[in-house]
Amino acid sequence: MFQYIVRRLLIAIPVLFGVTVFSFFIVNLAPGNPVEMFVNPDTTQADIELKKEALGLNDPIYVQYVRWLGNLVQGDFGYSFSTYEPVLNMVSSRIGPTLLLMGTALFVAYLIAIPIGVLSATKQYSWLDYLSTSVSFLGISIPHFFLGLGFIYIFAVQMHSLPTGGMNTLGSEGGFSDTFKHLIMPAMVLAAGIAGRMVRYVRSSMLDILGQDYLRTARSKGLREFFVINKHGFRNALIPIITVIGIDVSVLIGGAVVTEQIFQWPGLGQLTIQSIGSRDYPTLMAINFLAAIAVLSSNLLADIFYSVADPRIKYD
Amino acid sequence: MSMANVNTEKDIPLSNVQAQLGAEESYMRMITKRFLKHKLAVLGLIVFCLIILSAVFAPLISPSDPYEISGEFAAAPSGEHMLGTDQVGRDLLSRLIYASRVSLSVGVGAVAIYVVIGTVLGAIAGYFGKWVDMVIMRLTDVFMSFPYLMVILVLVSIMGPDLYNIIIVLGLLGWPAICRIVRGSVLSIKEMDYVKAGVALGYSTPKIVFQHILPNCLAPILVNATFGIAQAIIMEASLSFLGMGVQPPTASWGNMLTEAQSLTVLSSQPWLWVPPGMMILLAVLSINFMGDGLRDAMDPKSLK
Repeated sequence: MFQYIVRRLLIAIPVLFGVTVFSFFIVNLAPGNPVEMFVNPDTTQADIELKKEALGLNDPIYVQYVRWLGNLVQGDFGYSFSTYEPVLNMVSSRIGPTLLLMGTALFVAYLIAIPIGVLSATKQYSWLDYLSTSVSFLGISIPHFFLGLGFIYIFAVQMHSLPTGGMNTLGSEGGFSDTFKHLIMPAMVLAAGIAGRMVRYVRSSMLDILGQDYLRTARSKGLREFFVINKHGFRNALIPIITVIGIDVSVLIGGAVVTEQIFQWPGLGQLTIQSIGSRDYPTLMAINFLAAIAVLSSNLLADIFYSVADPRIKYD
Repeated sequence: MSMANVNTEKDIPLSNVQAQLGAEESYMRMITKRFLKHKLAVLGLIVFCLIILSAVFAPLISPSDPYEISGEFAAAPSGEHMLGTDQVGRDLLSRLIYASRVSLSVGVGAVAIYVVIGTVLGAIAGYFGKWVDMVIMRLTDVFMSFPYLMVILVLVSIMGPDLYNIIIVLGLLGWPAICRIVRGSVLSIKEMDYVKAGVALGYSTPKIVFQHILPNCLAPILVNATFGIAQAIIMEASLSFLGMGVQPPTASWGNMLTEAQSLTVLSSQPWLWVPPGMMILLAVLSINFMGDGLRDAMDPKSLK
């Protein structure tokens, strides 16, 4: 197992390299370059060439890549095309709200989905199973923006019980309960798809386990059904579920873009849309790069955790 | 995928071909029977067929031209305009019908592109193994690391948002899942005796891969592609909703919802945004049910 973990870490290195190459490629493919922000009516072509030379834009592409990578390692993502601020400053203030939103959504989704999935499997083909299957398909199929608009219409416009957007009430002190109220709708929207997929996944994983011989053994030795399901069944059913957490993180980040836009949540997703509007490619690249690192590391953690959790798996 | 269906080979004796065809037919019949038992999947198939029909015959069934200003601005549903008119005064029902063309072409177009890419790369990785496999699988990991919607947004904004660019970008980025599935299937199938027999008979590698191995991975590819169409439709709708997809005046279910971001439209003109949203939900839901039915019907674990 230790060997497996080491090998898994080694495999992540070329992938990380690929991620940086791809990110660099995106920035270079994009129109516009850092020189443009120094251009004003008095700038001559010679000045531009000078600046280009100074910034190293005339160097071969691989030299530029290595320099870019060196800066990246030191946390230097370059300067924004729209605000001329360091990209790192713009991005870092957005990470907190996004993590809060995604963390809440993931937590709520699993909290709801796992028990429902288990129940759905143990009572297969009951009305409860059909209901949970239908609702989970609805959750998977509804686009974030439609669900979000529906929520705003119902809970904010009709019932006046929740704020339409933002993270805190304007002009107020903010505080925990205020942020919490603002968090409810976007978190629910993000959680819906994740929960729907999770219910399906837990259900099928649990159904696999329920047919295993060792559950029959547990029953035949007179164990109460509650323990058979929860101790012998559920714990084993959880193992394959670990692997989808990495996928969920990727789905969450994508979903956060739309959800944050609808609810004006001041996170990375909203910054993505703003940067696309202003064609701010350095910022976009930084966000994409960070997102890819997040997905990569959660996949890595999931794989390692999986190998620890299931000693039956042999790695050659 | 059509490559894999070619099966009229001169060097196979006729009786073999017939036996093979016979077996395939009964397999198809069994799959169909099992699919038809899944009520929601059948319902999904019916709804999906209706959406396809309405897209194909859009000019015939639309009450008016989707681009023509034919009434008041944002008029509520009435006898003349069944679903009302949009903010420019165009008939909403007609736009809704025409928009299904956009969604379906993105869904089918993007998935067709990435099924081909994923199948070819996956087959190469699985069949050749060693460093070829290593390189392709790491490439897959790289593509899978980037959150789908985010990269698509960036690429579409670079290439310029329009229908064809969306199809291309979705197609170029969607292949990793298929690639992994095909690689896995090829890895297990290539050790089978009939493949080894093919190698011993001196068949060329492409022939072995495309005619002897790939037809046996069709089931998981088909299931994945079905879900993929649903996902591509959601992606296009999301992009268009954000203004980075299909541009007005072309109607797309996603861009018909863009205006609902303003609170006045959202709260007092629900006919502008509820119907297109429901259409996306209906289309995606019906495809997902079909995919679920297909998966159950083709699951080898439950084959008798």
